[in-house]
Amino acid sequence: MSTFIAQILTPEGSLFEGDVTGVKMPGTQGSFEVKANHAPIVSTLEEGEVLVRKSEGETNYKISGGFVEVAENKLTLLAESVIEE
Amino acid sequence: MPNLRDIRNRIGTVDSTQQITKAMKMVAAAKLRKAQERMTKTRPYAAKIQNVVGRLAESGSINSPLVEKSETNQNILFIVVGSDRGLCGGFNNNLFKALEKSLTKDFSNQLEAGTVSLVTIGKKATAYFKKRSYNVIESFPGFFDTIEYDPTSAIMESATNDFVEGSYDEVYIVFNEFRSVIAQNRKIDKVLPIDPDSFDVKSEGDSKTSIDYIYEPNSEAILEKLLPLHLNTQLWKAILESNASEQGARMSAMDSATENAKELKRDLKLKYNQARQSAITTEISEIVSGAQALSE
Repeated sequence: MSTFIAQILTPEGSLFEGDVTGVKMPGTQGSFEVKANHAPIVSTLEEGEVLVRKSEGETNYKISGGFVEVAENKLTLLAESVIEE
Repeated sequence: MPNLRDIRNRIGTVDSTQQITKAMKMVAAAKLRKAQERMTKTRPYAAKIQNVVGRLAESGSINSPLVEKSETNQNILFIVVGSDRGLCGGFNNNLFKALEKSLTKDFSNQLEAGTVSLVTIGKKATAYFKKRSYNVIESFPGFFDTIEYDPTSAIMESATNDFVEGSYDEVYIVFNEFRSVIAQNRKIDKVLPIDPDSFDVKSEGDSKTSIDYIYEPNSEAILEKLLPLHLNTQLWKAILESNASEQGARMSAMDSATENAKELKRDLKLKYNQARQSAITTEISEIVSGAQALSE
């Protein structure tokens, strides 16, 4: 499975950075998932759960809402508060 | 001639003071390192927000109540970031003086009309401005015990809401910017209304600005969400900068205090030895003259 780089940033620092196979997020217009080679997008996010899929295992985060940018196979998720579950 | 014991006591006092200032310097140095780390950590987040907002601003005009200038510019809010603790040289006083100077110079009309409001963060800022009967609408003493993002964004959000409702025409953040360990810049930054030209679009290289993004739901909705986040980040940055500056200022203040104590101690030791010497000389001459008187 092809991977891409994902990064989760908060005002208090970077919470996650690494290769992932997919990231599922609560978009303002419904939940959506980004895979490798996704088209460039900027989207706002609502309060909810973010699922980060790695080659082995997956991690759940709870976010307070924020936004995400995908460009050149790099995903940057920004949220004011992120809690790992 | 000063009493020998008095001088000895004073040397003891200066010595223990020196130990305290030295310890405080070390503590401030350790805290400074931590504060600088936090400052660096928040940078990628702030840069990304700036970058995206800048790109959106470039592709079309920003249409938000947060960028709208008001004609009257009558009600002004200052968010003053001071410190909770003293013993940091002129860190607080210089900043407050700078603000007062700017108030009497640039905002004299508003000051006279009583439309200048203050939000004070930190015990020192609160005490200073309350004592001088400024219109302090809200104060946050003890803010720096645990520096957290949530209360910071709460302060900014309430200021933003008041701005949108029209209670304030302009909002400023007053803080010490961290330049180096020994130097702070006193800043009075206007944060509201947002100046669309302030975003540095090219901060991440030109290649990315040419990418055709899909905006979801649309660029206006994204801006509406992003601008408040941007404002919160600005206050957060100001607070972290101020915290690092405070530790730096305390470090250099305590360093010079330690130096002064050292000098004082040297002077006192010199005086002590002089006094001791003259006491011995007197004693010897007394004995000699006593012996002489006996032998005659």
